[in-house]
Amino acid sequence: MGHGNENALQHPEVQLARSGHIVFGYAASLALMALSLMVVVHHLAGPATMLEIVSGLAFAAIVVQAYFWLRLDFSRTQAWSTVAFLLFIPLFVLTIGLTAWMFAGLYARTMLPGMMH
Amino acid sequence: MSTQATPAPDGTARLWHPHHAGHDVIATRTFGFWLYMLSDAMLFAGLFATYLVLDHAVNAAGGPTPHEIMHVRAAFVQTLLVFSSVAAYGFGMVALKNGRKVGVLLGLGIAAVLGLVFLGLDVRGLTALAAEGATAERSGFLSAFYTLVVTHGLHMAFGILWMMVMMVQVVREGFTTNVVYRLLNLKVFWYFQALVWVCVYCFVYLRGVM
Repeated sequence: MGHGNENALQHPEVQLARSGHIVFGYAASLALMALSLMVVVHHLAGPATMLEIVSGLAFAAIVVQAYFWLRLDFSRTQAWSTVAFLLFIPLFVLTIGLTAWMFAGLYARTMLPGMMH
Repeated sequence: MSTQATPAPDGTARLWHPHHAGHDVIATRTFGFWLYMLSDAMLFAGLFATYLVLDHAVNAAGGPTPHEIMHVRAAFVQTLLVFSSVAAYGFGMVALKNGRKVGVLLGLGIAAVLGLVFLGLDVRGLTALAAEGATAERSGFLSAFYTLVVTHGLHMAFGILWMMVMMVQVVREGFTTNVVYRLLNLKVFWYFQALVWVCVYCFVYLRGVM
């Protein structure tokens, strides 16, 4: 096609790589996961609250990795990938969330009290 | 894309652009792979949804419950390994940017080794569970757990295989267009495994002991 082999390294997606971003993404992701571990191991809150906190930390880790590692932003190089990702997120969340909600309701409505826990 | 093509030398109209540079091969392939990756994530969505349904007490079928089998500290070591592997690959990509073959090979190699250690821990954890009688067939909960963890492990295994193939291709071909787009795709694939692992760690392991 149009571009020669010698230009491949000049491609914008190759040029996205940055050591600083890798290091920051690594440190931040690890810190967020360590924090999640601390919260759970030390039972810093009730189960429902702990789940909310850990969910928040997981979401933060995903955002950090999406920006610093996957380099998803609205630059010309990455905009379409970012848009695809943003459109995919509700699909992912709803697939899991609606399923969990459906069955939580089902369990509450159909199971014998002794079977619940 | 311009709709105004330049006329032929004799003045007749042409409908194509004679000096058009051609489409961006690398971007086409990386975007296509990204869309595939999102569909792969939907596969994990199905597995997560199944797991969230089946980790209810009744699905333990009188066997082990999440609380009994999740070892969150050991899983944190696995988290460390996945993230370190991704970071190594990332440094490999920085080396690619600078055209340094040795750097790329080191990045791929270290990422592959760390990935293999991760897989080793995965295998060790699951075989230990199976030895205690907590096999995949024991209960719906365990089936869902094994399927999710093994699926992620298989993704890691194929990624490692792909890294080894890429190391051979980098040595043999250097940084051709094909090698570069494959390295970019593998980068996306590998980073995605870390992203999925965040969800596995938080919503399977940590949630299991809350």
